[in-house]
Amino acid sequence: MAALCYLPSCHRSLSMLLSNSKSQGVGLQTRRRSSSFSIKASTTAFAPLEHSESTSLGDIIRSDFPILRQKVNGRDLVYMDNAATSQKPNYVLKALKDYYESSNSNVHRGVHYLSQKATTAYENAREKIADFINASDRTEIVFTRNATEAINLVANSWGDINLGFGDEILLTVAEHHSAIVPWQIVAKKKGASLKYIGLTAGEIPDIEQLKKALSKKTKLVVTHHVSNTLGSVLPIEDIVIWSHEVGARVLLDACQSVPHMMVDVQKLNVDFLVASSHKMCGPTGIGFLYGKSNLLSSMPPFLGGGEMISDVFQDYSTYAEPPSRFEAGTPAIAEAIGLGAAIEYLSGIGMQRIHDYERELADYLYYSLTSIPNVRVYGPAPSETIHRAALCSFNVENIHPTDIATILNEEYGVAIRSGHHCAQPLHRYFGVNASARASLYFYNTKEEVDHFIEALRETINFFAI
Amino acid sequence: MNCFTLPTELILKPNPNHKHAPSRSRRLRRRCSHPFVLRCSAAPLVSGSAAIAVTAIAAVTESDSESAADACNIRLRRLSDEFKSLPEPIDRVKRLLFYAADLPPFPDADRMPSNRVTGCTAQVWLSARLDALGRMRFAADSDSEITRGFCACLISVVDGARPEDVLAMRAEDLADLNVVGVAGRTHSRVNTWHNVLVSMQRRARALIAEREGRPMVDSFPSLVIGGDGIRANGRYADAQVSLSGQSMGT
Repeated sequence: MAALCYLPSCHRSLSMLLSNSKSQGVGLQTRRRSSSFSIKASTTAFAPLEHSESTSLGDIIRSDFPILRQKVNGRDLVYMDNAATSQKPNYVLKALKDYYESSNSNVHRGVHYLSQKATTAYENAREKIADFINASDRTEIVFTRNATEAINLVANSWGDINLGFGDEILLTVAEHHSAIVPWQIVAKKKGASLKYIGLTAGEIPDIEQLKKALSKKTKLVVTHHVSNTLGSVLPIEDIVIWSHEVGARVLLDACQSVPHMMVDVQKLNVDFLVASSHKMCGPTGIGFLYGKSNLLSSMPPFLGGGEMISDVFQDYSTYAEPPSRFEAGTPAIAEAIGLGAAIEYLSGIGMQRIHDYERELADYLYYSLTSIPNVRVYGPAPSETIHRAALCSFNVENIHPTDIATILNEEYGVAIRSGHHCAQPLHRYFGVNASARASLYFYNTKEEVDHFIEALRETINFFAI
Repeated sequence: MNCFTLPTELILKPNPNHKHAPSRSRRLRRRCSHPFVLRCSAAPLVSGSAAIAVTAIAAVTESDSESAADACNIRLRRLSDEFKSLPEPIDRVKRLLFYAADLPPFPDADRMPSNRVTGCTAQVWLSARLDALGRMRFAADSDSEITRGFCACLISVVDGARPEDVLAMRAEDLADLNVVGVAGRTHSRVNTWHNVLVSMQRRARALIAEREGRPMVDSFPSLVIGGDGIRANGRYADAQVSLSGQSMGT
């Protein structure tokens, strides 16, 4: 391992992973038509190098993430709160710095050199996102502040003109608050109602119940792809087929899937998809909404201001085409470029490789955790047909999750989440107020999982009378 | 000068480990549940030293409001000193757990939405009343042991104090008591000291109003913009709880 680390490049770990084969990269599916903005390598070129097959992805890639070298109370940081937010590699940090040092200018607004440079970089980032999820055109990608804002955009724009009295919105009890609350607000205004799908005995959203609940009254199905609490993965293609049969649209919360696996919107055929940059090695403050072109074209503006207009008169304005129609004001330019860099970084590793590694971690975490007495993990048990994400929400009998998380942090440097993970309905469904959650990403290792498990055992003993 | 009177409950427990300063170790020791201390119900526990120290608490009469406020401050200072004397976070957590073990049982009848302390990541209940002498008497509980410890500590400072003295305390005064995490972090949603103190003060205000024969109606949360500045009036979260009448938690 040491022999592989002597190269000075800041992304040497990434370099070590790359092979000459492009088979792990994005773009195996039907290619979109090329657009005027071609994807350029934003900083230096990659140089593929040999690497040891026996070293895990986490071991190799860690040195790209400077924050992971920190110590907490004298112990090495073991960061297991990735479902809340991910850490950023040097590649992304450099892209942010480079933007401000060499390209910063307002976008779409000037003819001078810097403004053109910034606009090109910004639109390149949009192109990269479109490629990453296989959208049919870059204009189907709307930059937002985060997934929450993207959902609010759909609720206040599409929802405002498409929902009426008696209409139903179908959700699961496992949805994130950001996928619930905007619809509660709009439904109240419009006289529509929210219907929730429960879980099976195996603690996965009940797809049969969802099928039965779909009707002509259903206008929208809002569902997660991967649950941030249960770790379960839903059969989105099927859900979309059934939903479209009754004339309902599907909004997919892909916050926990896009960072961890290949997501292809052509294959899934969802109408809307939302994701946040900060969960996928990108900066905070940027996310995106994917919407089918015909849908976005039919939607009224969300926020008003500059950029989203065509002509402004004193008493009325005409609006720009999507995506600009939904991007009022000066955007988070550096952040969008940072997200583009994150996508390049992830694509360089290969989403399939990331996904395969995380499958191993997922099983390892689940089985290690369930081997501890009095620990109850939520969500399905992994199997050949049931895949879990690399996260486990759990409770320990008679010990509050916040107490567990506090000791793990103070004494062991292990960072996990405690609380309701923005999924209060789900916790109420289980009859608990809070849970602890360990969530991994491709820079975590099995050794870290071992450390977490050992620390958890000792923490449980600490609280035992 | 008024005589010192000690409240009636004195608890003496044997502590074979009272000389031992917990050493920093990767392996946590099981916490010892019976340290040898002299504890007064309105006084903080005395820490660390081999000798039994009796913490004298100034009993106050109706006319000596200054020393009543002093009593609160003295107790807070002693509690601060106690925690500051334990540099290792894990030892402070252990101390909190010790306090938690001695928290009296919380009556089930008092577990109602209006007694919930909102804003904490754990569930916290707090009840308050005035005793025959017009002093605040608090009881608290939580599903988190560490939070129970916080509550027990806070109660040891303010239990038996006048409502006005409870109102005079500021969240910043508790900054030294932050057991875990970044010192001085008083406004985070997870900061239980802050949330519980705010709840105590809300109840103190209500009891003062009742004492003065004024109907205590919690003003609807608002932002008051005046010539002297802008201030928040009431807590929205509390209003939501009481107005919606939801049962909190399951």
